[in-house]
Amino acid sequence: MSDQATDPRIDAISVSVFQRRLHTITEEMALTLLRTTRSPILREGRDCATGLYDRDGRMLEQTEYTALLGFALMPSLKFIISYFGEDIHPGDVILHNDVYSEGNQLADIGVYKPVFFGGELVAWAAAKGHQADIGGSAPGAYNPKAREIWHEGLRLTPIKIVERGTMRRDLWDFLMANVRLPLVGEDLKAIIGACTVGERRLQQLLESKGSDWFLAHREALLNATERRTRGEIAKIPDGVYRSEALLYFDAVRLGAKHRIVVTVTVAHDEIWFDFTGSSPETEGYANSALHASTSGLILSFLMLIDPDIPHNEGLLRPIHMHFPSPSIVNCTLPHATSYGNHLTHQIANAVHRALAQALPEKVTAGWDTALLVIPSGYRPGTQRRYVDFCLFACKGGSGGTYGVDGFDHIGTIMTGGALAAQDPEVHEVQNPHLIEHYEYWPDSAGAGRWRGGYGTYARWQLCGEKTMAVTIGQGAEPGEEPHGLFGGKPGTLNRVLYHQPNGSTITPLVHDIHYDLDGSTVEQFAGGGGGYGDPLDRDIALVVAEIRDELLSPEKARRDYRVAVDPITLDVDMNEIRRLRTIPPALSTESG
Amino acid sequence: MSLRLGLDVGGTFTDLVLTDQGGRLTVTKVPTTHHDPIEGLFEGLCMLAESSRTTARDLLGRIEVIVHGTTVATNAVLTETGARTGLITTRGFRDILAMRRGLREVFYDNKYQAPAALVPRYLRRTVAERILASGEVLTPLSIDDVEAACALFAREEIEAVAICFMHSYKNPRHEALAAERVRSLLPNAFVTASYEVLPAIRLYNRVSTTVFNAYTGPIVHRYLGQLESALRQEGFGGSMLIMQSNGGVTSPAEAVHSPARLILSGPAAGPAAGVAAAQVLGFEDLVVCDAGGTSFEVSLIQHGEPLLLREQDVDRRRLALPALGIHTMGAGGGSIAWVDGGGLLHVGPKSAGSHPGPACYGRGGEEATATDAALMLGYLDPAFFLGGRMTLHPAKAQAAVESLGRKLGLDAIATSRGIYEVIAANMAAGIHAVTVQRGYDPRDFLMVAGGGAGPLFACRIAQELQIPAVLVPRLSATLCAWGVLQADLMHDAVAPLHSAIDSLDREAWSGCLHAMKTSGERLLAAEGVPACKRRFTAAADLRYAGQYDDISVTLTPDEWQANNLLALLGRFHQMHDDLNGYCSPEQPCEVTALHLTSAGLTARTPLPELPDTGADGQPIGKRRIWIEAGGECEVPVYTLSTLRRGQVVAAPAIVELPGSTLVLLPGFEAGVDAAGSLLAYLASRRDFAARICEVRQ
Repeated sequence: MSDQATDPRIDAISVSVFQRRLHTITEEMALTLLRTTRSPILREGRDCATGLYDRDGRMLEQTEYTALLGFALMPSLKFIISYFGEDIHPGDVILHNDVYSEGNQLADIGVYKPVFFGGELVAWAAAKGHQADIGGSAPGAYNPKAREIWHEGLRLTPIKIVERGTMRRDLWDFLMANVRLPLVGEDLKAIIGACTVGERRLQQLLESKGSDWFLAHREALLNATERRTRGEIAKIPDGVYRSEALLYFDAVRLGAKHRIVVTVTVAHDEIWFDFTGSSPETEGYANSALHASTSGLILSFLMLIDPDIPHNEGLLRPIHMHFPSPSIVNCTLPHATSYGNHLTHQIANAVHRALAQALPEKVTAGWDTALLVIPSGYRPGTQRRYVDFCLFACKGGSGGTYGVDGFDHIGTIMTGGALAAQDPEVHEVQNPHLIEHYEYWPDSAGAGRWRGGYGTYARWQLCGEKTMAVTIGQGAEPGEEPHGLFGGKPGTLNRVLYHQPNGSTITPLVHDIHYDLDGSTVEQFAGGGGGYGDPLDRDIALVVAEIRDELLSPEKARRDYRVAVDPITLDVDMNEIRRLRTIPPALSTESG
Repeated sequence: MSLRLGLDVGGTFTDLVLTDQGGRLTVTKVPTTHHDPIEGLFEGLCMLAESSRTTARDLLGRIEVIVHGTTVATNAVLTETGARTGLITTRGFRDILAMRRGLREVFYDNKYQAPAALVPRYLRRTVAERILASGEVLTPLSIDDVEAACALFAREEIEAVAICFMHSYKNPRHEALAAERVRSLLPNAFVTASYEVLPAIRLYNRVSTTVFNAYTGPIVHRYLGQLESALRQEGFGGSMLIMQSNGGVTSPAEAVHSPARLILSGPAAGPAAGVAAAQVLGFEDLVVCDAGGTSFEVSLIQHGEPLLLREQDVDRRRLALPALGIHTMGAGGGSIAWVDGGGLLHVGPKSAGSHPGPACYGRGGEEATATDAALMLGYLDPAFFLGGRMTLHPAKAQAAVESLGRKLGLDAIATSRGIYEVIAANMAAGIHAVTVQRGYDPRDFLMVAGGGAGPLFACRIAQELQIPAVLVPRLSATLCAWGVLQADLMHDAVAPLHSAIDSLDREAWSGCLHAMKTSGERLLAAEGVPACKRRFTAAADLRYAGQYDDISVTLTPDEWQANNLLALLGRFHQMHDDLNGYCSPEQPCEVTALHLTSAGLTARTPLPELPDTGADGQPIGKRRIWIEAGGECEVPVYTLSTLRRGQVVAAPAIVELPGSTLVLLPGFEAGVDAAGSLLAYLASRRDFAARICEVRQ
């Protein structure tokens, strides 16, 4: 309110317009990026984020198709600003990905473009997108065998790839000589284009409204967002809450079971997240760089407050985080880190479990943790290489929550359902793959008053040459099922199988590389989410509807929901239901 | 004498606008009869006939063209009351329709629920068949599987069947075979194969659009069939045209083929009508609103151009056919007021419609609506509703409002004020969605208030959003019925043609265009459009090799033959730079599809100029109304028909228009433009006053 009192040009509508205007610009940047990029993970998967920042690098607005990338843009930008100091000019474009200078993952290259108005630096337009390749020892930027950062790819410390409007051909050629796929170059041009769109739109806005208007509204927006966030935190009962989650396999040692521990302290309108007690760094690539961790934490917390809150630096002011270093959630040179983003699952699970008693109607049961297959090879009879991330097959279900079933086929919590599955037709045009099956996985959802989301069952043939496949992920070992909450049942495990033309079947580890897969068929089960609340409290009509839809088998309905139906007519058998529901749980395993 | 009739059947009212060759307009508005909308239409026709001292039969005999906008398909989709539909699709791809690419629109809201698929899973049946991305057949179609699906559909009393197979845009043979079998086994079902509606890549876009078509098919088919035969029976010998979502019109025969093109038929005429009305005073940046009894539609117009989208989501389901970008929500005069468990007042989205309608209609409605509140506040004249043809019952409105007020602990007037404020705020939120949420400041736009309920709330909404001026078109109450008469016939066609520009087969290029033109000619000829009135616009979808999205570039007549495409590529690079921040002229380009829009120009009905009567119109009376917190006051009542062009009316005042009422709140004044529309603007804004001043001279 004080902002409005001091400046008569600022009012509730004008601040709201300012915020939405900036958001729309970031959305246009993101849509531009999607329209123009070529690699499937960007174009079809939407693994990207865009944003606008002020001259000091403070977040003003973002579009976060992958939330994890979004909240990692600001820290790298602040590093770039301190790195170049005054040496920033109109027309410059800076690339950056280095995890040991405030990046989050090598494959997630950030593009940063300063926005000048009237000869002054006023803001930055930036975008991050997951690249199809970043050099290193394995195609596709994920190498489960990596033991140090240099195995994983090129480290781009801040690089001015375009200087005052002119592309640095020497640097560009060096970069392109060190990645496997020429399309990475075209994708980077497209992302630079997206930042140019952001720059142009912001300049148009400044021309019509003036930079005084911009600066005054920036402060008003950040302050209003801070107030709103404080109001949200104040609704959480004060207290100290603690929980943890386990990472079962770190790509090096089976059964390693690393701990991610969080202590949450809520005091009036501020909140602290302290990860002291988490496991040390691992030998392999399952280490989270600091800003992969902060980003994972922010997105987990956003799911517990008003989802409409604007995303700018004001949001972060009352949130305090501590990730001890060195540890699995804040690793140090020379550790490999490319699986670090995925520890968001552990961070989110730990945070939601810790706050389950304080916010029982807000938290969700466990989400499926992604297990991803990344095939690569050559198109038959050509020298054209391909790499694709089979996102469509890895999208499991989210956890049930108070009042609402889990979301089906949503995929990793890291993206909150913003990461898209490929369209199957486009996927087959882009890759030498033949999809035989791609549907919901029946019986995969954890039972509950509000069940978990259904996962996915997919089968596809690899029809290319010199085909290899990388698996990265988790959630395949007993004990890793997405957890149920308040009486809900756990969800289901992920599983991948390679059926080879010679009749043998390989079960890859969740972090693995396999060669010589020409003609093999991949069979993948992406798990369902955990259920929330006692399954016996679920409306029987909903249970029956899912039996009719062949999503729920009569056997599982009987076992988990104690619901019995006539197998042909699907008429509810109330007598049998009454009988089933009077048997004590310990004796009722007959049908399970 | 040749007459043209514009007809808009909405959720609450049926609007009719009749024009003669001299541009004379006759307008009427009658309650929509939901059990049979044709009944309401004939009631309207009788009234139009009465005012020209003739019979409906005679009038119908003299009408050359009826242009019709209908919400029949829209309502079926929005209320999920379409036909009972089955889907036949490729084995292994049963859930594409429901999965919607696995996207959750709201990333952080774990309470968000996906919309239910229009075809439930047990009615989505898969069959053995497979066509590859190249178009080659991998697995032949199993007719046995198709027959098994049909047997289930017969048991389940399915009315419509959608068929969508993998890669059918490359090779439609399996779909054609399956469709033929389904049509013979289920002769009464409405059958749509995806290649007939949208022969384009992307399985989700195609299956969703095809299901929309099937789901609305039987309803549109039944409705248009009954409408046409009823009109013919009563002596109509002219032609009928149906408004499509793209803002153009088509024949009923074509409309029945692809009913998915009618999903936004009802409101599609609004943007063009708003543009035409605002043109009189020279405004081009508009927010056009249409508030009827049930719904509130908003569209944003920049530089006089309504936004046309190639694909959009209708209630979060993909419709990949060209349609105008119109935002719609449940708010209107019939919106029902209610109190939630926490004691908060809400209005809508449920509407009392026309039957029973608001309590004050005296047709058995007992729940208080926005119209009841407006009547209580004195904004409506109980004796002058619908131009005096309907009498409102203040006692019934009072009883309904009082009963609601008891739950709030408020008296009838305070409750009515609350209802009025809440519905205005809801409508303001609708405008917010197309302006502020897309980054536009509503204060930079002129609001155009159409629909029977629009002018009642317009000033209040404008205050809420600080919009300085509102145009109330002379025909605001029947905005879309007048708008449909401004539309051309329009047919969109697409031909997939995937090729590198360097190795383009020029004959295939011109062959595609001419084939589409021939079928466009045929359609227009069947609709009776003479050759001199036909217009063809072609566009090519271009992209850099390796990209997955295209930019549609309009072709010049020379480029139809593809002899020299350098200029076309130059335009493409420029558009790519404007849109995407860069271009790569050194990169190879490819074409993916050609589009052709075949238009048949129709006779326009310009708004006739208002003659200057030379003297300001005087109030026809006075009325006591409640405004804002200011309590009750007496204000003059004007009627638009007696106002002189250029006349300025001071606030507060009531201006009665045919079929609607403008509540001119303090702070505003209103001027009459050359076509008889009212511009209500903040009295402090001299720039708007000056425009009215010019009209007078």
